[in-house]
Amino acid sequence: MRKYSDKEKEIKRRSLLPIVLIIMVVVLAVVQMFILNSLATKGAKLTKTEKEVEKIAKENELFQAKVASSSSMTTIFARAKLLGLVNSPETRSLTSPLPVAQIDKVFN
Amino acid sequence: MMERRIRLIFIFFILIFIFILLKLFYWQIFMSDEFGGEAVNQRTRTLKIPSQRGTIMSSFETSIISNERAYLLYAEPKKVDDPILLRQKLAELLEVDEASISSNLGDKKKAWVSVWRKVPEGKKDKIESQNLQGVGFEEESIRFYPESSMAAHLMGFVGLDAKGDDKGYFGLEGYYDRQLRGRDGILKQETDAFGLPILMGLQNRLEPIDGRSLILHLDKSVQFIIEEKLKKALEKYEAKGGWVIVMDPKTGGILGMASYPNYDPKNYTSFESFLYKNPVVAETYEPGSTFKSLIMAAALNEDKVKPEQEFAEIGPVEVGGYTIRTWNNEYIGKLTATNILERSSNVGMVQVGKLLGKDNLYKYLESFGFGRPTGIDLEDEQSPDLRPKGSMYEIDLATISFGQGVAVTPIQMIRAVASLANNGDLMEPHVVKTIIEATGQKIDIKPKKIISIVSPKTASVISEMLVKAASHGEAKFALPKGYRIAGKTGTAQIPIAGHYDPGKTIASFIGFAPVPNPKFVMLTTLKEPGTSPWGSETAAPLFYEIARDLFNYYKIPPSQ
Repeated sequence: MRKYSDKEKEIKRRSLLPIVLIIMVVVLAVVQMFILNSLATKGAKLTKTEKEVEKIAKENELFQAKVASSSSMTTIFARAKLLGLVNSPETRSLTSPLPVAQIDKVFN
Repeated sequence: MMERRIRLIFIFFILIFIFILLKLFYWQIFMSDEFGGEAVNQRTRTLKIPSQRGTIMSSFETSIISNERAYLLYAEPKKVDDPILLRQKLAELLEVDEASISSNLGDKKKAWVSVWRKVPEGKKDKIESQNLQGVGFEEESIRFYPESSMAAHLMGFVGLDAKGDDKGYFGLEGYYDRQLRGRDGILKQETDAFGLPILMGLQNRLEPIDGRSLILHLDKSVQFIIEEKLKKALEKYEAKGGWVIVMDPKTGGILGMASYPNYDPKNYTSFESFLYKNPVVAETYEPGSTFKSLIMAAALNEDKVKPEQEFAEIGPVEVGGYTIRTWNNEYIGKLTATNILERSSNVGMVQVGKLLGKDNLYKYLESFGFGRPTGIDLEDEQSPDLRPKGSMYEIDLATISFGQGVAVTPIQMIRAVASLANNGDLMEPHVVKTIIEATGQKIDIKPKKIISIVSPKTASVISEMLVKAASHGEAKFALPKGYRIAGKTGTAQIPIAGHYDPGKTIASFIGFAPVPNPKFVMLTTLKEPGTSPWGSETAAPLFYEIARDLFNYYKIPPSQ
């Protein structure tokens, strides 16, 4: 078998490089074409998704407003009144228990 | 001949070529910017991404003011067929007067005309269902008030500025406007012939930044209690107006602030503009006998007076040509310093003022914070000037000692008395407790001590004297049983054109409870009460009624 000299190897490598580059350009161009083609039709999908997000955000805002209104003091007061709850006319407080140390003192 | 014709045709073509060249030069060089811009406009769309104004929350982080979606209704006159009919229809659907709808709907020179701001969701749906030609909507937000007009004066409202942008006016909305307002975002997108975005095309997005939110010291339950009680008191005592402030003496935090008459912030345009200002910070009045507590504290702190020291009260006293009497023109001969507060004796206070002296009086007035704003975080705070020390005469010393001839704002008054409930330390009053950044980061506003005015011992002594003033005073009938409340009534006359109005008063009661270790300090004031002019018969019962509810709410048992 014939052995290639280093110089011949270098020449062969150099002649392959343009071919590899051309193949890469072609492959990448094809890939780009596919991606562009795929993305070009995604605009409608994006718009649809944005509309859905918008709808959910709107619903969320409405729920938040409903929670805020339902938990407002005026609503709670009106509901309590409807349920028959009344303001306590008199509050009775139980005497607090004697501190332990003081009970000990009594026994001593 | 033939050659000549060919030459002529050649010249003709050359001329046409030159003409085309010149036209192309004109389009590409001179008109390039304009045509380039038009081309960009055709294939791109710019959307405003609205930011949210910050919300305002109570101390328990429940919303008092938030936002809801609203819309800007606009018209494109070029697409409008019958502007008069459109105007009529829009007025009908918006339920507004036709005259208030823009008359530019038919102006074909205009590409875009703003018709109505802040259109609510329901009305937008109604207009859209009509399929009107040449009208559209742009999203914006509007303030939402789940608690209706609760604390309206404290909150303020959101209106529009000269450029048509949202702007906060009065109260917190005005004071914190720059913090609350957000910055709108922008989305620039390349679109196809159907207006759908081209994902590989131009995409510029500037994210919106929402405004900062505020957490207040205000407790919604306290606010609800004081508003309900104040409303009832105005009816019961036939008063023209009034206000109630509840403050935490230790931090200066405002727990509640109500004032009437007020307005609805959602429909603020339907109310007179004089109602917009918060009287608690913007109105001045003569505090009357409630001021005695401060003068007495000053005299005790300077060691000029002792609680059991006796004073003579044998009749009216003459000062600088004026006669000073007790409120009921009754004189008991001798009374102690504590009795002076209990009986609210003007004659006794004149003697206390004299013992304190002009220099000390002036020093304490300044220390208690009168004559300068308190620094509360609310818009429109006023501060009536103190009479210059050099022009203060004997009669001024006498009248100031019982709260006349000196003007204060309600917030100055409650802040000064709160210092007596806080071991003598004067705090800066604050409504906002925490600011929340758009990122969620919380910035706490720490309580700020301004100065120590009286010693803790003096504060304790004056507190005990005020407990006796409340329990033995004219309003003792309304005092909640078993509770130690320090308080002082006040009935101030209203100065008009150099003299006092004989028939009108401002009735007030200021105090704190429970003693010791007060949980709240409160000022109740009724303007020109009709049933009785006296604070002891109007403002004091209101104070005690509110205090009773606050004791229950804070679960404070009676101590006696």
